[in-house]
Amino acid sequence: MYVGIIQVFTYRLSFFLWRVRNVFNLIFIYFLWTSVFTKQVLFLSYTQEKLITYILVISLLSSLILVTRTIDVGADILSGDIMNHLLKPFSFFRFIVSREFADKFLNLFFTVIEIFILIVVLKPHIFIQNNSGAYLLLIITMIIGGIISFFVSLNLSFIAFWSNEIWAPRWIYSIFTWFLAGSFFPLDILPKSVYNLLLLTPFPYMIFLPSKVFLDGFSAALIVPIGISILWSIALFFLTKKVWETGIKNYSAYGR
Amino acid sequence: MKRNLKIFWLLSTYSAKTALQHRVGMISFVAGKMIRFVFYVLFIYFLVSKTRFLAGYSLQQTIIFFLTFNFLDTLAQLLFREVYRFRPLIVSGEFDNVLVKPYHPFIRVLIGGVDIMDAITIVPYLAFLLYFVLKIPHLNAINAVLYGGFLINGLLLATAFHILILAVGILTTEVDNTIMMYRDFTKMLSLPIDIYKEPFRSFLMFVIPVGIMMAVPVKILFGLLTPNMVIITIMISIVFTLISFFTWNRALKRYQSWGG
Repeated sequence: MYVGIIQVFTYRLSFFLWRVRNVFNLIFIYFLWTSVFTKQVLFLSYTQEKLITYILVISLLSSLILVTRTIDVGADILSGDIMNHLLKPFSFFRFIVSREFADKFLNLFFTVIEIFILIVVLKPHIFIQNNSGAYLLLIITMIIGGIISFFVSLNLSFIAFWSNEIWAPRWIYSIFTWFLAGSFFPLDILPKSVYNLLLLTPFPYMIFLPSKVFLDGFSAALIVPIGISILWSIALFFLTKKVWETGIKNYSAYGR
Repeated sequence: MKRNLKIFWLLSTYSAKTALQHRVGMISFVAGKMIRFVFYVLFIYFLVSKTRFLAGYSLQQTIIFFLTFNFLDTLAQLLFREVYRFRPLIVSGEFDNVLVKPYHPFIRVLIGGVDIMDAITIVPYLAFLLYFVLKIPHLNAINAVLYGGFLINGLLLATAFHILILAVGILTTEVDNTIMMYRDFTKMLSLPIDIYKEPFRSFLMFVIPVGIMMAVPVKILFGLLTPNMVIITIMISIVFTLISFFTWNRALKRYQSWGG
């Protein structure tokens, strides 16, 4: 974990610019939704207060759940550098999980500061959840979301076992995540049929469900989505295990 | 000029041939761009159909803002894709070989890698843009001509931005995040600039003039810009372009061949 943090701070300018980019992305979404409420107090079921809180929570959760270093695994497989990791006397998966935590910790730390500054500068009205049960459920759904995002991203990197084309699928995945995970807008504003269809995919469980839990607290309507998210995380665990075992069996790093 | 065009054509042909070596990747990227486009259009349609107006603009007007952004953004990517590959040239010292060649380095590092994928995606963007522009009721011919003129101005500003990114790359070896930051700034103009409150709006318009690039042409098309504002935007565009050339020259003087 310590090595992961040191690695990030080796390229300080790069890290700084990455953070600036995140801030401007957040500003874009913030102003988009603020402008919606200039002539109306309610957008479908959302008040301005709840929608602005939603995008701030989403930003925080993205830094914790969607940000990942598993991308490096694909590059390591292609370059053959994964051999260096596999030969070391510790588990490769423990290594990537530790690196993941280091990265998430750093991103979370800076996102909290950035959101705090934005709240001070923009002074938005935000919703404060008073139900402590919602916070507990938020943590549970966040962990599930983190697991789903981690395994999906890892599987995308494992494509490198069979193909050099690893960037295009990841890029398409990022587009799907941007629109279908709730990064841009709360998914439940979509028509009911589209929303129900989305609930069958893993995307809503990454960041939308935890945000929804935070905003609305627990309700009976959440039992099914939480159940599906648990099923997705179990299924993705076994899928990842299978893909890794199949991939590594046939893998050969030429020239190393 | 003829010689430069010949070199540009040659480099573009090489770039297209290289891209065609990765057909699966190419098809996936083009598909990804189209998926993103469709998602955005559906989102704008859904949003503005529920609110009727976005920052005072109708659905058709909002879509013209979005399509203008897409057209200019894609055109800039089509022409300046080589800027995205500039960092390896700097860190490896390969840029030395570019500088010693008997043609302007911009032919190689700025426009030396025309992106065939963007050449494909820009066609539907342009078709949709023309369709929606021609559907504007009582379209003013002068405004339409000015719109075209300010699209060219937008492309010149995009050129200036890319030159600035190259200069920063020479000075700091940082290219990837700088270019993505530029992309993020321009993306903020995929919707009307009026969604932003002051001072962000002025920041996007006058400090990093992405507003002049993306929003001003559309505002002129709708007849929403005063003559004074038109003059100010032209002056800012000229100043910004000069700054980019000045920075490039300064960067070249400071270049010490990092790698190699």
